[in-house]
Amino acid sequence: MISFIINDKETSLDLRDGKTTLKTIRENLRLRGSKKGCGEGDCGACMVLLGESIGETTLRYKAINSCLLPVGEIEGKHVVTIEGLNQERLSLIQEAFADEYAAQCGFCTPGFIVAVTAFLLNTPDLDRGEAIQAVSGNICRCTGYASIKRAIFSVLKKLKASDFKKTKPGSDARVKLLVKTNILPPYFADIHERIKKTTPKETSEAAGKIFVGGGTDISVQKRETLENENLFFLSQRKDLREIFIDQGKCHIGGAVTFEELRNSEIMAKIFPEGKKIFQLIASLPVRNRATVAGNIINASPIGDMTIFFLAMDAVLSLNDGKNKREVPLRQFFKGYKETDKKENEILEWIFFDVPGKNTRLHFEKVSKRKYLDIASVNTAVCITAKRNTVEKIGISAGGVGPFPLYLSKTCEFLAGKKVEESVIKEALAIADAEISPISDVRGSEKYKRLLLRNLLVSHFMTLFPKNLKEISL
Amino acid sequence: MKDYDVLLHVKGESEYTADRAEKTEMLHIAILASSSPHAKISAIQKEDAEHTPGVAGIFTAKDIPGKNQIGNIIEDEPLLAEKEVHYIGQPIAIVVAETKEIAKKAAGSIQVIFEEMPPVLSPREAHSKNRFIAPPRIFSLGDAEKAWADCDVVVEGTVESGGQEHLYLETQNAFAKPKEGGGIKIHSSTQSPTAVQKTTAQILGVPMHQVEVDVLRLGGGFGGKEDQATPYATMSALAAFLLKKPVQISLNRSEDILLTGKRHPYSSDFKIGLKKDGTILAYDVKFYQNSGAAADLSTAILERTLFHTTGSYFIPNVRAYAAACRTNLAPNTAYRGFGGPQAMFVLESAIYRAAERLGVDPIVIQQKNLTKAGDEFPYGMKNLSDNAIRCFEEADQKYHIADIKNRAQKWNEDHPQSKKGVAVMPLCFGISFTSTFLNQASALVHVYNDGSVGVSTGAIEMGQGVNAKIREVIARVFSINIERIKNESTNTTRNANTSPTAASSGADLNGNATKLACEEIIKRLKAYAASKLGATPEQIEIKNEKVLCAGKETAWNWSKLVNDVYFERIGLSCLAHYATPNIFFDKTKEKGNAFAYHTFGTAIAETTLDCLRGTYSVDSVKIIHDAGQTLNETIDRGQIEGALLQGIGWLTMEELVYGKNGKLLTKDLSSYKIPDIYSAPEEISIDFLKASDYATGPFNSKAIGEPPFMYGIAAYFSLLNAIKAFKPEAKAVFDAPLTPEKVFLSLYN
Repeated sequence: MISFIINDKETSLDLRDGKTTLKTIRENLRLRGSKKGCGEGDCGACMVLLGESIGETTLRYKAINSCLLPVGEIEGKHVVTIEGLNQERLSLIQEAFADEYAAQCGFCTPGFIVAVTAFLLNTPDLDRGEAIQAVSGNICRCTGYASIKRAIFSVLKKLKASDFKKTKPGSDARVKLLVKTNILPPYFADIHERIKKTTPKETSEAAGKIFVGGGTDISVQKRETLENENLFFLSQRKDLREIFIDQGKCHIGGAVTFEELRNSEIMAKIFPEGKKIFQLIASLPVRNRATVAGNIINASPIGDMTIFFLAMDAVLSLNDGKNKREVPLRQFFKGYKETDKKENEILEWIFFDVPGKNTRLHFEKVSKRKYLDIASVNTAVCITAKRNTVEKIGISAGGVGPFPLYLSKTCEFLAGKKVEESVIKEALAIADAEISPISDVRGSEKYKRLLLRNLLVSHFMTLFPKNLKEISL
Repeated sequence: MKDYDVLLHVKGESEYTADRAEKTEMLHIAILASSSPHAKISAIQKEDAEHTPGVAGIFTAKDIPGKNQIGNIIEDEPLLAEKEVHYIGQPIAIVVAETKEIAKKAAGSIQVIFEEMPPVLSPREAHSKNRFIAPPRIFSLGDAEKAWADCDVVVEGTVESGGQEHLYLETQNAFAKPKEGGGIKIHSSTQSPTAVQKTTAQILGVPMHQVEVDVLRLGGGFGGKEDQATPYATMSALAAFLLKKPVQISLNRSEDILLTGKRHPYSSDFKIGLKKDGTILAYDVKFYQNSGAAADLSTAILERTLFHTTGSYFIPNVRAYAAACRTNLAPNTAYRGFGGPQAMFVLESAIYRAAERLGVDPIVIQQKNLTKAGDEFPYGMKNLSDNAIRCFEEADQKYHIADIKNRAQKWNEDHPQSKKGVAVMPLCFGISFTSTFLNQASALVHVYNDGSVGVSTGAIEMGQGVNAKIREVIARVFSINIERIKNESTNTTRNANTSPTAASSGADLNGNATKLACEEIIKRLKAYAASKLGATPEQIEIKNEKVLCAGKETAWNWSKLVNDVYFERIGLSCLAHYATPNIFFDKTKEKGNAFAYHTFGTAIAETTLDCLRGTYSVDSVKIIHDAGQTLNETIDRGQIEGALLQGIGWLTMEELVYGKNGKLLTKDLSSYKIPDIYSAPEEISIDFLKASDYATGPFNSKAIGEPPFMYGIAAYFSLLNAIKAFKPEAKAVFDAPLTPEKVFLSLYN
């Protein structure tokens, strides 16, 4: 049995953990507002709010693609569909969408309404850019988004940023504010108490189970069969949901999501640009689920997070339940979609040295569509330099080999060199010899080679703007 | 005031076909599709699949009781393949089971033995092998051959434009239920209920009255459900008919992308001749349309390409050759613009190349050759208005094109790695189905005796706001509150022989039919009121729900009058029929008054190119659009904004990638990218042309659905200009979509 609250109602259903929440909503609960547009998290038509109790005072809601959410993950949580946002009168968001005609065929509309509601639950300050980012996972084929933007901005205009600054996301006060401003129905006010009364069942990491991080990839790859598998959700490992610094090393837990990383105060100090740059990775609802560890284990040659941590020279801590071992990420990949991980091992921690003040980081990604797309080429760099002379450097590159590459020869060459045009040009030639891109739907071999070259140049132009203003390519 | 449909949408309460289906237990269909692009079928081994628990039936061509044919214009396409397959994804068999998963698994266990034949994938190869859907056609005006000698400059070139996946958010789906007496009722997500009805009747071998088709609304269509919703609806009907049980079919996203046709890719050759001052004297163009494996609507689409050969320009000497070339891809189909965008993209490319040769901005040539009242189109019709010129001039007056260009140039001088480009796209698009007989519609208006109104037409609501426009027509004719009016589903038992909701004509045709029906009912109401008051019907007026006689209020309001009329035993319903007047086309001469009118406009687009990464964004698009006297400005604005971004998508990021065998590799949303919120232009400004004339839509409105799609072309050429600003020697590529990869390689190749 899986017990949860759906909208305003406590429910228990006898379901297999791997069934998608979308199917559960439409078939078992017979709620029709959530739509299936793609079944792989690329359109947002199935978006729901997932509310999770975190301690006594915090009930955190996130926008989630229900097509990628195994129903086992909603145990003891609050699932809100569009129906759960409806009241007698329209909510402020619904009203704005109606006034602006921000719905044409209407198929994507519930997803947008849910996404904007999630934004208002989570925003610290009603930032316009973050409001747009909140619908980055929602595709509309009709409107061209202009009326949707107008609707979102008109909602923001009707609210006071000061109210939002005063109420912490996840707090009772925020929920009350949203009830008062006609964004949430009144029943939200006591949901947290009701959630606490449900007693989530314990699950074990028994052998033979498939480990599911965020499930954003496995739900697509095993679309037809996931329902029949035995799953263990890493989100159950609350101990792995932390980011902390200990003895000069930053540790990221195996259950930490992309979005948690993006918003982490620790990461903000290590890589201040990350908050903006990591917007380029997936979409908000996918980042709300996808884990950093999952991105690494997935071993996609183009995994964005993997590329970042390769440059950081991260180390992986693996545990099979009996033995723990550590493997440098740079030695983890063995071939296309092949890693050093044994079947019953869990990637528990990813850790790396906290960069010193002479260390600079940068990440580049180019894809056909700037947001919510898989990279054609991505690359990251971590440079420790004094007076423009490289002391230590890590450069990674994705999409140019069978797995995420660490450009060891290029890095060796650059160590001890001064950042200047002739040196960089030589480094580019070495990098070009280290990669082996192939032509596929993400681009031709030639494109990927030249693009990586330019992105490497961009690393140095961005981090050493005085040394390298222009370079002839 | 809030719109009825939009109110349902924001609450998630609008029902789409699948939402109506799941209330009953259904059987589900999986399609066994061809994995070969071109082969003879030697054998189909389905015994194992038939014994899979949960499977209710497996049907192949042999099981079809009627005629195995779904071709709408040309009968060249079976519902289920018989002896041969002609594209990857062609349906061979349908498996019906308790769940879709079981059906899919069983379909996967069917063995089809193919005897492979070589596929033809490119239209030029098909052309060289005389693989035509229909004989090629030629439109001409003046004498292009003679005119070359008078030209100062003649340039030639080749243009490629890619296909485009519709990507309506609601995938193809339908469900069917058996009815008493061997009939069938189908709920289908289709733009053409009559096509579904007729084809199903033919497949089942029953008269059309045995097949009822009902459509409430679509989660997007864009042409993709004009002809290609039919096979899926028909499959559900076939299974329901044979098994005597309700059956549902619903394609998942990848199936939908793999099995259905797209916008037609074109390969074209142009030759254009001009005087030194930019006057275009002659234009010769050859269009090679990649039609796919069956006719579908290809010939009609090709025809519209020919009609739009000269875009919004007058060219005195024209020769346009067009061939629908049969290849081994899924049959390509209708998509917003219906062949028009492909023609205009070629001409704009020709103008761009000519401008390069003349050393002028293409805008000079564009403005110089705009069509004016009295100019003849290559199909013999005369342009009735100067609106092409008026839109262009209004755009220039409002936005000062020269200033926009100067600002871009200044930016380019200051930014070595970032370049801006500016381009203009003038628009002229003919409104009417070019198959004249389709320009008809019916509307059934019921006034209930409480004063509320229900209306049924052939128009399908798919997000374009046709329901709201029809309500607007009724509210205006009756002069009543719009809340009184409700659109019913489109149902073949209420509206027969409907034309597809396509060609931007939904509101024009069905709105006009509705208007006629309302006018007839008003006539009856007025006659009654006049007789009771001893006045003449002309003295009676209904205004804002009040009934006036000679300008003075009477004791009646709308609902009271309606109620009294009912008790007088006067009919309060009317079925009216509308046919667009004064249109014809003679295919033997390729001349005629093909269109009721044209719609015009001008767009100015500005893009910024990141020259290090090859990525770009459309900064702004500024539009003056001729919508006639718009029925609903908000809806028309939404159509322009949406069509514009679809056009930009077609020309920039939406790339269909095929493997060597014609297998589509971009078969999901992770590999086929359509514009997201960040891809939309930062700024879109839209103004409607004032005092627009010659519109035959209801209350002098003009059709809006397709024309603004072509504004996206401006984005393409603004991007070429940005590339040129970075690399003046870069050769302009006329090869849409202009993906970041193509941009990058033209910067660094």
